[in-house]
Amino acid sequence: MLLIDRYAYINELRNYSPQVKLLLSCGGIVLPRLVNNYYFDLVITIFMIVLVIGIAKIPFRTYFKMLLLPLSFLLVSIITIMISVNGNAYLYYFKIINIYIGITMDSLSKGMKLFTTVLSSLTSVYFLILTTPIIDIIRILNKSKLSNLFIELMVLTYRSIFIFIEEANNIYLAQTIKFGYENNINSLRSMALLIRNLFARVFIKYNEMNISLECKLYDGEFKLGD
Amino acid sequence: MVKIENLYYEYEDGTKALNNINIDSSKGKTIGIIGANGSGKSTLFLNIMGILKPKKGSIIYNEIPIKYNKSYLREYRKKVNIVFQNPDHQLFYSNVFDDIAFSLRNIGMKEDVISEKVIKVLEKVGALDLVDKPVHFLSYGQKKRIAIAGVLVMNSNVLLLDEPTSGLDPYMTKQMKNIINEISKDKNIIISSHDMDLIYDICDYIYILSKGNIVREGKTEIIFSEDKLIEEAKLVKPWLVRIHEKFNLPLFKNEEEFILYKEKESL
Repeated sequence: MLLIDRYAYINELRNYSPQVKLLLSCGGIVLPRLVNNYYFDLVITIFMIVLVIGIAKIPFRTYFKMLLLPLSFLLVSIITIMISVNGNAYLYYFKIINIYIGITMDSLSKGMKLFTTVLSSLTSVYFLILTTPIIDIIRILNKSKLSNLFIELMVLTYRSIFIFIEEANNIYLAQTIKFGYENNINSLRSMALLIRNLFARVFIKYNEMNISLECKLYDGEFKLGD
Repeated sequence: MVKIENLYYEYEDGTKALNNINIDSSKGKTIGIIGANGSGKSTLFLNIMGILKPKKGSIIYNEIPIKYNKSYLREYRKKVNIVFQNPDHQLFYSNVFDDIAFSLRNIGMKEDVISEKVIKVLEKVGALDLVDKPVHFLSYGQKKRIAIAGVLVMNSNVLLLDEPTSGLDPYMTKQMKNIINEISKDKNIIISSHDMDLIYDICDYIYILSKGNIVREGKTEIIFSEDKLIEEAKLVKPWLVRIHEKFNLPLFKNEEEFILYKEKESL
């Protein structure tokens, strides 16, 4: 089971109105883009962190670990954005043959703003997914007259993720107890087998799903209730 | 109800899966189909559902052979439906309520009628407390109940159950038995299982399937009294039949009868 999903069901804010939670998190994403001030972004970021850790009672360590993954991507991309080639008014630069590479005042402030904006968006999204079960989100989307196709896709993707993870887990476990990950060569081989098997099983599952869809009078559209 | 006449089925590669199958579900309220692994039970069920098309022979529902077009099959499956062995194949939605409501929404039923029916069927299978749970939070046994509920809610006349107790713990198995007993009051049930005690307890007519052939059919008590037949089909006798034969006791239909007898005896 996904950790995020588990917290969505057991956190302290679970029964709080999902509409408000969705609005809060959307606000946390949209506002920093309108207000061009990185202190404002940081306020939002801290607000979201307080909500998640202080009120929803998600353990700090897990939360931080979850943030680490997107943060590492963020840092790498921010660095590449901050570095400019052949600009003017460098704060710091070095020269290779005829090319100047370095950080300008302009790129620094751009990078900073981008960093804080993304950070506030990240914490806002994390606030939503850690406190709101996906079913609640789907219900709101459903009421909001969003295209059915989009919601269907979301419902099925969500369900399939769990089937996929379960299958992968089962294969991995079976391989592990048969010493499949003892050393590097074994690991490589096992991983290749795992991927191949998973691919085949996805097709088998698809077939079985089709059969039960037929039996459940499916007519080409996943219907969602009110 | 459902009748199968001279049905032959072959896989794409020409392997014969079912040969000359004749089954009449009106011979009992609860029909048992038993046979070893790979004897063709699941293939037979897929044929009955109209998912697989037989090479020869026909499936007859209410005296009319079923037609293999979309609209006919849709109507047919409102009357005859199936609970598959693996519950994960038949759960699509992320929460229990939506999943059970799925087929009703497909028919275009009104939302308030749906919610009434879903609650009722959850009560019937004793899973009302699961109504808001996400499907992937459920244990295997709970999933199996929800899968049954999702089919029961359609209120079909004939219900096929493929291995309803496989993988369940003893307590769940007993509960599943009660559920089946309950629904068999107003439905025709065709059940396949390797649990001979269960089959003996709830079925009144049995077909033995072996390597794609019906080798024998008959009333439950008669079928299980034939040693050679049971052995050849790679099955075992239910414990009630065994104690009847070995300890010279009367033949009881279920455990309760046996206990009642023992209590009377000790008085």
